[in-house]
Amino acid sequence: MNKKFLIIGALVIVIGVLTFLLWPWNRLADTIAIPYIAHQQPHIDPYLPAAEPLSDKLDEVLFDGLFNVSANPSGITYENALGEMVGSISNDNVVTIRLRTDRKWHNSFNVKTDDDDITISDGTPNYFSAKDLAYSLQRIERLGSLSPDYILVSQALTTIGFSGPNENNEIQFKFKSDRIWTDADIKEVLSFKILPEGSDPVAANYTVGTGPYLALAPKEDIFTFYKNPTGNASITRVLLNPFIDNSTFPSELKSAKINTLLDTPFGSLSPILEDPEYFFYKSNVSTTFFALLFNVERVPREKRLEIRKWINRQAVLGRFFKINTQQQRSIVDYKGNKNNFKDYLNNSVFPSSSYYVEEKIVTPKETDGSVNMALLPDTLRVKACLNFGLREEYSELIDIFNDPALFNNRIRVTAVTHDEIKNGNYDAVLIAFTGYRSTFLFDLYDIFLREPDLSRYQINLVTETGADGKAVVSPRSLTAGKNFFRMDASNPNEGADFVRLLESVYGFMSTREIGDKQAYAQFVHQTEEELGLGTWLFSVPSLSYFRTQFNPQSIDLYGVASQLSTIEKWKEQKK
Amino acid sequence: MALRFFLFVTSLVLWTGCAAYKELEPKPPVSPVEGGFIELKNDKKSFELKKDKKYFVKFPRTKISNFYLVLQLSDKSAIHSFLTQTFNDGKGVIAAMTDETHLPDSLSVFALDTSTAIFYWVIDSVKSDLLLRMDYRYVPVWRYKWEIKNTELRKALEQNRIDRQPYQTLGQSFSFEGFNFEAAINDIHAKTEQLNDANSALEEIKQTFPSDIVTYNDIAYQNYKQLKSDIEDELKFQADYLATVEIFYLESKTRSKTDAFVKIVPDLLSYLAQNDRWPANVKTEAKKVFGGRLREVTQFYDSILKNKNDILPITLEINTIDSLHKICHDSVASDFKAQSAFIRRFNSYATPFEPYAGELNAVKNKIALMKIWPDNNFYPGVLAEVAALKKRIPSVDASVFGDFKNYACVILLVKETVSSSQSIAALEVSYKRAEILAPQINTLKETSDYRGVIRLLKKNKDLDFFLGHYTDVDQLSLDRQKSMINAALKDSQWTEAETNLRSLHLDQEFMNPNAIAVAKSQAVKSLEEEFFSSVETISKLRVNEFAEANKLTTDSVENLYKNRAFLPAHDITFYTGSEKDFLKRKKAMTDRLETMKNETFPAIAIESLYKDFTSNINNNGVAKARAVATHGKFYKGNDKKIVNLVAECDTRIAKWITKPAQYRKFYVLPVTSNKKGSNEYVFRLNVQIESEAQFPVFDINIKLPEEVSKTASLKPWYDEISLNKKPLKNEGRFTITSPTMANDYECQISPVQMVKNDNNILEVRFTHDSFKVFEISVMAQKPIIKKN
Repeated sequence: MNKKFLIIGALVIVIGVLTFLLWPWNRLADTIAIPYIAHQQPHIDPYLPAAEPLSDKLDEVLFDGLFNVSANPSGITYENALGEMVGSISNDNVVTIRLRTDRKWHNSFNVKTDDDDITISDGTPNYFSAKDLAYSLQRIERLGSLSPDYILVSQALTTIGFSGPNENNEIQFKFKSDRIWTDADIKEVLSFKILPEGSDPVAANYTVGTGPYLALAPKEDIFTFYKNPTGNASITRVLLNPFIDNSTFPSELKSAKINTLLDTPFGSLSPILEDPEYFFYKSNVSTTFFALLFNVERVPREKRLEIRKWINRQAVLGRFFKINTQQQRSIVDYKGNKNNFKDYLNNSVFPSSSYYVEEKIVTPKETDGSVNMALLPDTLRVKACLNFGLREEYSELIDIFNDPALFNNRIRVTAVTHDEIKNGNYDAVLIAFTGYRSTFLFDLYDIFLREPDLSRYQINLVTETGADGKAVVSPRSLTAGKNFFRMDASNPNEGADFVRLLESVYGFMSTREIGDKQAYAQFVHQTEEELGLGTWLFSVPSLSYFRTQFNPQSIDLYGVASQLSTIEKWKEQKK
Repeated sequence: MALRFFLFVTSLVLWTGCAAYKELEPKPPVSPVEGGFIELKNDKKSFELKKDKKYFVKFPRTKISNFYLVLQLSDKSAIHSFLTQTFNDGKGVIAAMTDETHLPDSLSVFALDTSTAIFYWVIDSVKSDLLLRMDYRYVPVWRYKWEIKNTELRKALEQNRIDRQPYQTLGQSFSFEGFNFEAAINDIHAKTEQLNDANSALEEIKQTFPSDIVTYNDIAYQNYKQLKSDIEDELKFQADYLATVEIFYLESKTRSKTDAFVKIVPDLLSYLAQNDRWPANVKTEAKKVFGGRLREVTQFYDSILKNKNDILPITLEINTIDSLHKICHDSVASDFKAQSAFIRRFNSYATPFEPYAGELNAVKNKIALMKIWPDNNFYPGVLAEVAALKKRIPSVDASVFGDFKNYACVILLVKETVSSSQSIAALEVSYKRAEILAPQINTLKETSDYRGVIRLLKKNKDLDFFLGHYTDVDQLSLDRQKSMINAALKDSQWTEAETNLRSLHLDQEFMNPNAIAVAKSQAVKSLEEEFFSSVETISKLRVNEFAEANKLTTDSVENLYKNRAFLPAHDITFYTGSEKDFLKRKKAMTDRLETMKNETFPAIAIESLYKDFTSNINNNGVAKARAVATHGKFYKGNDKKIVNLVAECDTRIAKWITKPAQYRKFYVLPVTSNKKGSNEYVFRLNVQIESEAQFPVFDINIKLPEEVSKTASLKPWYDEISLNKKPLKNEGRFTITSPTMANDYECQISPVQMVKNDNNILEVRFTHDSFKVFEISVMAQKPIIKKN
């Protein structure tokens, strides 16, 4: 009997130990596990926006700038990364930076993977140098307005370049004399990420950096980023785990297949993740908004303008969040406001969360006025593709627009493959713009010049040299098959107006002057209002969930910055 | 000569340095006694000389000096020899004595002196073996020379004698009529010269005579004396004969030339005066020939006197003629005696009267040259000179000249003396008038009454010589009037100056109005200019003084601009130009003063007040700044600096912000005047900063005084902030940060949208419980696009 009890006891202990060891959260010990849509693998380019919001966030994981933007509980900070300032800016606006030439590029290490065991050892060292910096600046300059970094750098430096280095590896940047440059300003300008010299300038993916994590080869669609041996990350691994769509993300977090969910479906609080013993959340400013974009070839302007007025966006918003129902999808913003749904309603191509609306640079009309029903089409055929993220949200919106109670069958939304959208076979397309920035650097190319192929991210910007030797946008940027609106500069009715819009968009994106940016924002807003190119529905909140495996105090998400900017500081809870 | 001697000595050194000499010792030995030639023998034989051998012979000195050693050789050319005073077997320097021979082929002659005991005759070269055949002789120098010369000298005497016959028979059987004087004179000269040479040679020999030669009964010496006497006698004759030939030749050349004859009369008298030198026949012939010419002299003089047509003293020679008369004829001819008496009398009048005319002219010239105004002593001096001159005029009675009274020169002398007496009397009268006038004029001059002088001169304008002293009186009168006008101008006596100027313009009281007219006109013009200029200068000075006195005035600044100091110091009424020009000039002056009022004065006041204001803005700063602003309203200049200073103090004027990122300090003033309570303050900025942007935006940072901003946490420090009159509110995109101690009381307005290339007036109004000036700094900078 005793022996029997002893055997049973031993089995219980073994099972307990095995259970403990094999329990999901234990598998994610010392790991940050983030979900992604399997067929939307990240394309990492630190200088260009990507279709997948996660891609841009990973810039912070892989790369360093001369200075890195970080944060503490009080707000943004700038930390020395590949450079450190020597003194302050001189009277003639020269900034001296000492380069950290002891920092190694990720390809300096040998990586050996044996099942889950990863061994990092020193390989041939490849140190960061001024040549890498020069290469990176050249690439930024060549990308021009396509790269937000170009705007940031060119507004500050007299020429995009530097002098040096000297024997102390010190280089000098000449800043413009039109403001008193604080150290924070300088570090912000010099916080662009740096790629190694010789990188393919047109690569689809850049994975060699000097950042806190180095990228390993993906295995079974799992992307692994391992702690840089010379870095200061606290958590050893970052995993990107693939899933079919976002509908199961909360349950995957709950079941501990992931421990970090950067965006919840609908941006709303998840009922299944509300136990604070296991989960905590942090909200951020919106990065996604939905819109109906009209096909100008099919829907003339007068109809577009009437449709825009006719579509009750507030009703759609109400249905989307099931406001005032028992199933209401509750939300919370980074300022602590709860269920402030109206704040997410957009009245302009510039989302309400953006700097341009918040700061009243543009002041969209909040009421649409009376609708001339005679001008409405019998049926507005809207297409949507559910295969490139936000499936849950798209499905919900399709149902909403197709609800006769709301739109009286005048809108017919169907889910299609991306090819149909690519071919322009729609009166309007229901689409989500993800990863938008609410800052000065709001991206209008993404809206107006993205080619309508959801399987890739391509901006159709064509520039040419103007009479004064400066780059000007070419009308060829507007080709019907190369934007969601099917705008074409040669459109006999509206081509001139489209070009006018294009010029304002280019002016907005290419200027490095705040005043001009504000003015062009107004022009774009006004022109778009005149043209009625889309119905700008609403944004969804950005809400991140974390398992309490992590110390909430170590994760600082703030304002409009990337969620992974401080990833090297994330720590696990002490047990 | 010295060079040759040097070469000779040198060659001797060379020769003697390399060979030994053998002494030849004659037997009998050499005897140094005056005598004839003695053969040099060696025991009755001649010495044998070997080729290329060298020899020498010693010759002792004589006891008395002036001896020659004469060596006579039969074959002198076969050897080379010389005599020397020192010899040491050919060693050392050997000085060969000069050979004075006149027969170098056979004879050597050496002058011996008594200072050397032994002389060495050296044979330093023997061309072939030979026997030395040589005689020697010690002989006094004078004798040796006389022996050589006496024949030659005797021959010279005989050849240069002149025939004495013509001289000894002159006036008897010989006459110089038709004589060839020139040939005779040349012949005499040539022969006399030869005889003089012979005489000199004798004198030279005489120098070598021993002192006791007169005691010698030496035939050579007796012959010498005879020859010397003969030559001297011939020389004396030739001299006398030459003098006689020459004087007769001189006379003969004046034949038919009386004037020339008169000139040589002193030479004739001189010849005749040597009474004892000439033989009787010569003296008689001379008196006859020379005295025979005197008659023509009297006739010649008479002709001259008759033709004399002036009153100058007569310069004809009468005394020498008179003497020649007496020597040649023992008495003076009566006609020449009368003639010479006339000459002496005429000259007794003419000589003292001769300088009269010149001296009178000198007096007149002295007066004429007196180009300055004569002092009171000038004419009394002149009159004294005139009195002296009067005494020079002789009183001439023609009858005293006897037969000569009708000669022209006598008549003229009488006439001239009479007329001179009359004219000098008239002059004396004029000079006496001048003597009276000059002191009167000098008295007027003391008071610069030149116009009075002119009046006086005009009354005496017949005194030409007198007017000549006062040629500058017109100019002086003009200058006087000019100086009076200038003095009035200097003393700013404008009315007096203008009256005098007008008077000068009209003045005709001049000695020569036409001549002075141009100068007067120019003076009037110049003074007119000066008048305008002075009035303007003083007016400007007045403005400057006013500006200096009032530049720091802060009360009633507007009233300063109403002050009469800005008007011309005098209202000018006289002008010689056209009315149109006159008005134009007055307007120009007024305009310049107006410019001083509108530019100079406010500029001075603004600068001074601003400096005073900024030295301590809390010392009545508001009043000073407001005064600057008030002056600024009147300022019409375009000096940027002044405009800027005004702008700094004028609350209405926006302060320019043109450069980014640079703090600009300025002053903020209350626009109300509640000195003991709350006041409203306003400042305006005009932000125009170059920007690449089409729609530039700037952050405006305002650094405020602590006392303005320290209560900003309790209530807004400002009442209103506007851009181009549109209020900026702390809402929407605009942020107006609160000035706190933490941000060093800096308020930032951001972002401020500017109008490109246009005025962007940012106006800030605030209220503060004070009445003072605040210092505020403003900086505008471009905001940057931030990623986060």
